[in-house]
Amino acid sequence: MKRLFTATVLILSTVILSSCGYGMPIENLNFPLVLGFDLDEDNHLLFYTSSPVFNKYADEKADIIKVKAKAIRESRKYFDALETGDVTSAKIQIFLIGKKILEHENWFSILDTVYRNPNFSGTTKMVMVDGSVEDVIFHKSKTKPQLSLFLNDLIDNNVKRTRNVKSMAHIFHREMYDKGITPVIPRLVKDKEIKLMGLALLNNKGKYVDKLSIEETSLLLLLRNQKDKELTLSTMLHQVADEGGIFNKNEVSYVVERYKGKIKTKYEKGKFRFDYDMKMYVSIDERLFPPGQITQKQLEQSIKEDLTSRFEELIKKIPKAQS
Amino acid sequence: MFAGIEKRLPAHIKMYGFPICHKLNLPKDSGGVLMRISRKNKKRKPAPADTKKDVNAKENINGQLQESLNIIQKIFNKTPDLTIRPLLIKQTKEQAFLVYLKSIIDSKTIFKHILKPLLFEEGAEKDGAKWEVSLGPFRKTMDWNQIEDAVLNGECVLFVENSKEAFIFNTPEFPKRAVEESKIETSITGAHIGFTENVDDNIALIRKHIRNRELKIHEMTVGERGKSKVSILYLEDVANPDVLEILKKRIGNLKIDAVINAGILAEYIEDYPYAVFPQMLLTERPDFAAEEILQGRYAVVVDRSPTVIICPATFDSFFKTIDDYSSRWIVASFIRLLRFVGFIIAVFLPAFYIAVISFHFEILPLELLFSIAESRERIPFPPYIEAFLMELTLEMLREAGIRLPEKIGQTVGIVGGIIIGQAAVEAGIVSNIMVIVVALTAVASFIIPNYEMSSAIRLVRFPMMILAALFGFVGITAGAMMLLAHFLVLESAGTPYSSPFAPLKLSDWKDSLIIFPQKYQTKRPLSTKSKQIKRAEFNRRDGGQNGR
Repeated sequence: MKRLFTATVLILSTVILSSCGYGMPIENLNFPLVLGFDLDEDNHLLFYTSSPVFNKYADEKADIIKVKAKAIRESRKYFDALETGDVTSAKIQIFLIGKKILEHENWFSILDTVYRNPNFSGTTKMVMVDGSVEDVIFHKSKTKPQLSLFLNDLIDNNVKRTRNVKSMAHIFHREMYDKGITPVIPRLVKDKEIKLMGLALLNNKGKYVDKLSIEETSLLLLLRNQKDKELTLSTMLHQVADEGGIFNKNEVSYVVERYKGKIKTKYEKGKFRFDYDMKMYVSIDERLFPPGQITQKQLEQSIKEDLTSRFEELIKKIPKAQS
Repeated sequence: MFAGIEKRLPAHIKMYGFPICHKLNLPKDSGGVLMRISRKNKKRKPAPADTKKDVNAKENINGQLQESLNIIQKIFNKTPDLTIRPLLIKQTKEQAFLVYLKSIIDSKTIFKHILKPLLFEEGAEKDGAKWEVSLGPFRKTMDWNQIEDAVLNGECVLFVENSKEAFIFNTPEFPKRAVEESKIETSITGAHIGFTENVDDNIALIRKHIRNRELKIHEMTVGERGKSKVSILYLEDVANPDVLEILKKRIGNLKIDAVINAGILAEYIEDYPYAVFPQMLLTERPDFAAEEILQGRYAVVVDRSPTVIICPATFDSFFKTIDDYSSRWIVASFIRLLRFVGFIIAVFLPAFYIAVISFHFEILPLELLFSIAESRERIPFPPYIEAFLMELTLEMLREAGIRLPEKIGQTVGIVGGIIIGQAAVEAGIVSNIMVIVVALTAVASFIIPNYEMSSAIRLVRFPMMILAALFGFVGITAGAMMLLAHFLVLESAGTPYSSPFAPLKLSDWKDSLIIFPQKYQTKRPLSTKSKQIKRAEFNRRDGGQNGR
């Protein structure tokens, strides 16, 4: 009897307990997949969300909302006023940050709740929009999947080809506070379609400084020792006669098969000093000129010279950002 | 002649010849069957041992044929299949009659070996015997109780004028079926033979595999009203004697009406009757039983039951089949692992589904989240009701499939497949992910070879689902811990149930989750605590001559 009583009390008390807050089945949730930040003409913060719609009878596949608020957490009350389900931040895939925000210093503090609230994922990707966030988030492509899926895949593919960085929130956080690294963020441009155009360089306070083209981004990634699965570069050869015309006959493209970058880091007189020793094994992937015009040594030499000059140009850009 | 036979009889049979009249300590005023019936509502004794009273006033045969006949008719009233055959023994010219139940005797034997010699043959007197028949074993008795038992066991009883003893001939022929393959435990490459309902056949089937003098049989009788012979088979120089003591004690202490099948006996003698998981292994396969006996376990054969109890059993022994040993070890290991994975799926998958949908949707990849959310959009029920609905439907379909005749049974599959699988999803009652979950659970539980274990596993998933609906992953974890603790507590015939995992016996792992090549399996499982551990030499291909 006593055991039965104890067991009953135990079971009843555990039933009243609740573990993970409260249960909320998927169908009652509204999960934004893209969260956008931007400034309007009068420098007011704007927040955008794009959440998928699963109702068969809804015309649109995505539910996009724009609200004016002071902070992310504060914006939620406006979202709650507009959305049917319980808005949750757990599945946000992309943060779209307008260039207008990045042109101001110390904007990073608005992301405080992202790093404080465990509901936010650390793997959300950060992207800068060169232009207006509104244009991107309201853009409807007839041939491409939903914006969040599309951007996710776009960035992942570019990372695989060593053309962009995996700009996840937690990595960006580290870059912002690491004195030895220039924070970078993928740069999105929208004219007719949405394009991923290399990187934007930020300074230590998060202010936009410069942009890098796609080729420059690849080189930066080599400097950061972040070569992923594949990397293709191309060089124009001056030794080969260009016959002119539409087709550049002196172009050669090569795949970097193996890359060894030895970096020695020092801190001298209040400045960082990096010594690079790079070794690459490349194989020619594409050659438009006929054979016999250039020897292997010459080819090697000219590729080496070309890459060195381009690295130097890139490195010149970075101290600007660092200042 | 009798003297000669008696000399050859074993001791316990000879004993029947003596009067055991003191056993009948009846109240003198008991008024027979009719009186009993008339006051059945007033005095009802629950004890099953009370079945043999008041049938006869006399305690022994007195040699008067007419009186014996009356008593027989009184004992077996309302028994139309009772046959009484009066006869004159030609050899001695004595009056006699033969009594038997015609439904359970072998009439050919009676005619050929009893009636024919008695009626037609001239007897040559030998050893002082007056007459003889051409039937091997028979015994003599004076006790009416024994006569009654004999007739009920399909033996026939001969009463002879002026003889104070009746003669019992062993002529039973109960209906039985031929030895055929078990329909529950089918096997691809194992022997295509299964136990039947006859205890002698079953022992013979095991003896066929183990022709060794160390194979001992301990015989016991269980049941007061329907006596069954229970035989415990074991290898005397291998098996742990403590287990035999436990079995003897538990079976010997049983006081019940009858043991209809081995399942009932197993429930009576298992260590934890309130546990969900079976602690005694029931099998219908003689080759499997023989293998287990060779491992140092005990096989309990129950008369009239086609299943044999194997004990002590460990948790992993419910995941073994005889096919594991007849196919190659790599394949067998894979399948063995698959069964354990099936166990985990069957217990946890529906609970996992509920927990993910109602608490932890974050762990879903985006594409999967899209498809689940799309299919759940129209469902009016919360996930746990949806899951319970479908799991209960599955259990009903399964049960319906077993109980229905084979030809109608297929209809259940069609109804289940089309109505549940398709119409319910289209009508928006359940999501199609749930249907997949249910189907996976069913398949996963069906690959567990032991029927008892697979039913137990299917039952365990319901508490898991409740825990998941209440607490999400935390609940599932708590449930898994409780399950684990439960396994650790359980024992089978005094032997740890969760061996070789806890207590850890690494050498037993050669045949638990995966199977090592046969040549490395040189020891009997330590978990059975057998007296003789070694069961094989390390066999090299060429006898070790070239180091191979």
